[in-house]
Amino acid sequence: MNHLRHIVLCASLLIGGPSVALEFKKTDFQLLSLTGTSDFSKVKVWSGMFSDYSGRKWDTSSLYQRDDPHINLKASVLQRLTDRVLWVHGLTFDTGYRSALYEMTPEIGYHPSVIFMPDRNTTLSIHLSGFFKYGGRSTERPCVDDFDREFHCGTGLPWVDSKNFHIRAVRNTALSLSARFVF
Amino acid sequence: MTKRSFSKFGALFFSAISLAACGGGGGGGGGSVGLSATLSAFQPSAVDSSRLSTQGSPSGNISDDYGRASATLVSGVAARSASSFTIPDTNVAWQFLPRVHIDDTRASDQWALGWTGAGQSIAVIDDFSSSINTHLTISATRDSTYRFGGAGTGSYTVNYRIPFSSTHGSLVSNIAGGDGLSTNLSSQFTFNSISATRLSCTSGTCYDVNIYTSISDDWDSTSSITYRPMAGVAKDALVVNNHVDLSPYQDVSNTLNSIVSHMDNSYNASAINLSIGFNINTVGVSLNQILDGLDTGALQRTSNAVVVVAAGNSGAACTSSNLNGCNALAVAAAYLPQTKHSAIIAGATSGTGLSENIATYSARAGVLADRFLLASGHTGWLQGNDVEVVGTSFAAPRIAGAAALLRHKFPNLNAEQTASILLLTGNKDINNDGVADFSGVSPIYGHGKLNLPSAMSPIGSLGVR
Repeated sequence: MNHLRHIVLCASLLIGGPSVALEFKKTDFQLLSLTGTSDFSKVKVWSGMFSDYSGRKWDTSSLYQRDDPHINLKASVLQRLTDRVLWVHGLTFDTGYRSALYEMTPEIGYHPSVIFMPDRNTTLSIHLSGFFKYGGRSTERPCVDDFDREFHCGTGLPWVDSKNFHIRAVRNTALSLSARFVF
Repeated sequence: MTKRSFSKFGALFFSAISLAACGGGGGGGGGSVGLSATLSAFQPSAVDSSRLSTQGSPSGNISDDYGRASATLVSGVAARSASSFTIPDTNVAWQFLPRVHIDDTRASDQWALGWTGAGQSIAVIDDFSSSINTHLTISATRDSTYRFGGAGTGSYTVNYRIPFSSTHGSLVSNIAGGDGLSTNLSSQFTFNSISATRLSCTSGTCYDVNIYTSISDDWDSTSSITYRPMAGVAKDALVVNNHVDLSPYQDVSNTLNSIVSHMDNSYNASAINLSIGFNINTVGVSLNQILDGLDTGALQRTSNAVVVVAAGNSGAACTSSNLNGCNALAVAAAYLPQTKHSAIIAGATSGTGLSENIATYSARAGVLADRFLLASGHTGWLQGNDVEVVGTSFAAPRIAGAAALLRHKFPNLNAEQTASILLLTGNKDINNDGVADFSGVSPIYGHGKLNLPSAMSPIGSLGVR
């Protein structure tokens, strides 16, 4: 049982984040963690407050306000392949962001980890973050002035001059290896 | 009153006067323009000839401000005992020819973002045949043991004069647009009138000298120089030069018809520039009388080009009760149904910084205030006794070029919207002291000064489609 606790703890650490490790009975599949938040932290969305060239201050914050409630879920499921090999299925789901000028489509992600335990005192793990993601496409839209000219309401720049400032979703894929030895 | 056709009006109106370019070209003191008798402008339409015939004494020329403004252009290019100056690269060339229109409009800021007027066109209707003699001065540091007198070896700053032959139209056109930087040109410079100031004396006795004239024995008395013309405000715009006969021998009716024809043919350009016109030299003629005479059918097409007309260099107030000295062409553009929504009347400023103000020669906004916008009237080119060529003629192409840049960046804009944006974003701080000099629309300054960066900023409210 202590050995299983160690595995659960180790898997939880691999998944990362402010998760709470849950412990289940010894089965082929076990839910290790499930966390949720309503905070959107995948990217920093514009405030919509800017000053233009003439010094006029603009407040377009309402155009960046989220339309719908946001949910971000993270789950970790442990699968025992053998006595010494475990597979941790890291799953993420984000409802995305919808506002008048910025949208991120819902995203699901799969982040697998494999844990090897050659002996009681050694744990080797491989974690592939961002192994698979679907959705999460980030799109900004222009606002328009009284002359139907397109501007970027995050910066106040003409839309055609603002491409380098558009929000880009981070889609990193990372491979991490770790080894744990208990003496 | 019976409305008259443009050509009829022209013939009547110009029986005693002829149209003239509104600015550069001429030299000399502030009275008349060297390009006198240039006819410009589409036909001002009809004013009852019986009124005109008894009022005022029309003159053939539009006065300008030559001789009042002064500015010397001294390039940073220096050469030591060289028989020819060769501008080695673009950067140096840019320092060489006048670029005041680039600096005061801040056009290069837009170029850096990729907005150069590419795909836009500017029709310049002007005189491209009457030659104007202009010059620049170039400064160099020279060592001399004998050239400036004395037996010593000294170092002198010498200003050379480089003559150029131009036309009113080409000066205007080159401000509006086009990128001349790809072309190498050559000219001769002479030492007919140079100034020299002693910087140092390293050995022997050196004379202090200030002005030398007729130094014909200098070995560089006729050296050649290679240079590249400066780019216009909309440097990648296609500038179409449309010549009209503004000579003293012009057939006024033909010239007016030619102007109308060019305007009709250019109705879909980004901008049409008319740095030409003629004064309403009739005291006591009211705006209503002028408007009653406009031939609203003279132009065949409603312009989708921003029509920029120089306000004229008479310094006229252009009040509703007395339009004496006001440019009839500007009045017509501001009120004809085909152009009134897309017209901008260009007044000129002079000076820079805290001393900038509407130029004394520039017509005031007056009855044209709703369509009136100021821009610098400086050119950086010199005439005569180193007097700068200035005029509302050179304010207009700055605005025309700005319109082309604006339409390049925002291709959805039509002419009316483009003109409105340029007018609404005019800078009301004329003397650059940080305080607006008027609110709303001024009878003197109209909407204020051309402000290209602000024209690129939002107007009104921001929302989503």
